[in-house]
Amino acid sequence: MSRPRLLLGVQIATVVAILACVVALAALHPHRLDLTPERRFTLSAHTREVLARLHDDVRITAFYSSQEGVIRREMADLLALYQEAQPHIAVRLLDLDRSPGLSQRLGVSSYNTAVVEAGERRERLDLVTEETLTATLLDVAGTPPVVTYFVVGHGERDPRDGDERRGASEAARALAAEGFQVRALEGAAEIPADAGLLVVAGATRELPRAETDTLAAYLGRGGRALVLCDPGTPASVAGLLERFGIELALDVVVDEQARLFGTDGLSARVAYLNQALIPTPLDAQALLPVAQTLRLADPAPAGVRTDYLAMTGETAWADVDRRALHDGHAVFRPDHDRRGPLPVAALARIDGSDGREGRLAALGDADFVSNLHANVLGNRDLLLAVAGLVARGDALTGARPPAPPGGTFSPLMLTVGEARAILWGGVVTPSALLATAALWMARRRRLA
Amino acid sequence: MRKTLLICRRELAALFGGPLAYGLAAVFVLLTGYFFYSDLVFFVLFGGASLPAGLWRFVFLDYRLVALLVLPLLSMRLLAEERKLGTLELLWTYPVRDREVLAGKFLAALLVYLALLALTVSGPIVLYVLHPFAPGPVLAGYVGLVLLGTAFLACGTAASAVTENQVVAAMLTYGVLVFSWFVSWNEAAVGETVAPLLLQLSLFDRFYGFAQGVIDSRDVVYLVALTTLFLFLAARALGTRTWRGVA
Repeated sequence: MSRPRLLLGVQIATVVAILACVVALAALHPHRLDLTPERRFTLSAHTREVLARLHDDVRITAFYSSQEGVIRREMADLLALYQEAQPHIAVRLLDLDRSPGLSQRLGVSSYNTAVVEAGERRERLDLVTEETLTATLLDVAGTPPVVTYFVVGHGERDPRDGDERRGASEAARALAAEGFQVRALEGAAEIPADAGLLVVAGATRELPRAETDTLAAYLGRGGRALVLCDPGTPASVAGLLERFGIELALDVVVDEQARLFGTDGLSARVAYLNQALIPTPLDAQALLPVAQTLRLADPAPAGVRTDYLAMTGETAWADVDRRALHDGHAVFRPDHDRRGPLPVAALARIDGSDGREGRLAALGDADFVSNLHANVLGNRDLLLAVAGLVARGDALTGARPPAPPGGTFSPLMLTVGEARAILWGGVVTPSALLATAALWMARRRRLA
Repeated sequence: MRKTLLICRRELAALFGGPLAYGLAAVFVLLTGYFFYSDLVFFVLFGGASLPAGLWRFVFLDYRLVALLVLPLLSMRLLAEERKLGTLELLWTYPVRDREVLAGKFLAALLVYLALLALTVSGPIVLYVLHPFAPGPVLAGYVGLVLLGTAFLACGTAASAVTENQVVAAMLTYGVLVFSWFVSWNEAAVGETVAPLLLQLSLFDRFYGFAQGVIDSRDVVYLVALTTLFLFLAARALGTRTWRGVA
């Protein structure tokens, strides 16, 4: 080889090596600018919070089909975000068809499935999304699932009901994604032994004495319960709360000044959370449609410690006669009604008979967990934070990933006229003008 | 810099003095416009609720193909034509350095490409006027198209520097670019250890994040590095004349 050729080879090799180093350095220090409106490629605050709690090594093995490049890429992108955010996480991405032994050992037989392993624990995900993956990490890496029973049979919100106004299936789905195994319980006469959390979501009919006694006994044994009370809650439920130092004020919260456009001023915004119990504020305030306030009994019953959990903003006031509910409009009376901030949630911690602490949280509204309201502002996050606090003793408050858009209905409704305007204004006219210019230039050149 | 701009101006005058630039622009705008309109109609009828995932991703992935089709035709003449007509040798007799010639011609092609991209904005603008949308993903898509197209043009410039035949230059560019696309197509044909490496090297996989509305520093650095490499190769190809006895 001649000297110039050798020199050229060396020069090219040197430049390639330098550029490869630059690319490798960039790969080691990635920065990502997510410009999607819903931040689809950025881990949610909730996921980051969960990842920060991982102290043991976790291995995620995902199986893909080499023929489905788009799905594989999306899965790889998501797993890479987890790996970048938490060094304890190791990711393996394998072609299912080429890994028959490992897939069989891990019990995987379908594409786009992942297995999360931490120590001896192992969980399989059939759908790899941020929501499912984070829930699995929460479960596998130290936070066991909480068997959660929604008591039904007295007009409560039903976790199996998908009805937009009455049902609570959205709340159940959100809880399930956080490691709560949601089930329905017909009446509370007998509470299953595996119950980690009981939810009474808006009873409208009286609970028999036997059931309230069973619930009280359950709490006294270290049980955990979340009781959601709309204005007009039956006396039996109010009585149950009173046994643990929480009183329903039997009023209704009015907030004309801070009301949202299109609402009637009876929606209470949760402006403050008790930072001693829930240290990190929610990203968005929860909105309780038609709420009542709560009071703590003074003194609290023996063996019970009570605290307020959530307050409305200053602009809210308590309509003590519930005139706003009956007349549709009410004016604040300084000598009669109460000014905000008003307590709308409280927590009672009960010294259990066998040393386990019982916990009872009460909220002055149940509508906020209905399918209609569960995903409004911070409602879902409030429910999950309070459920986590009651069932597990700590609350994860980071904003959850946005729910994936469902269905095939497009938000873009184009009229025929608009579609034509786009076709002619954006496509046909510019290209026709350019084609005319090209023909004119060609003709001019021919004539020249 | 002044000489670079002079050469750039001369190149632009040559391009816009004939029908080539206008013809390419007409094809570019027609194809991108067609893809935009058909992707939009598909999204309105079946695309789901997310504009970035259901519309912009497909629009920019389609625009990428149009760039692949058109840009080698734009870059093929940059140096090959001058070499064939003998004007390159004439240019070398002027007090101008190889890298200034190269930079001037590359800059001219890049400006034409940016003008082509600017023409494609009309569709999204009409849509925005009718139905305002979050512009972030569109911005990311165009940033990606600029970087990807710059790499395409650099590849075309390098191909144009090694031959005096424009068709050969265009085919060489198509060969390199299409190979860098197909290289990651059939992952089943390569081993699991090789597949991730090929994905890292694939020009088109690097564009995928931009099309989805994400600007990743790794993709930006890779595309800039590849552009630099191709331009370096083009400069070296021009420089070989001194020891090959071309001039």
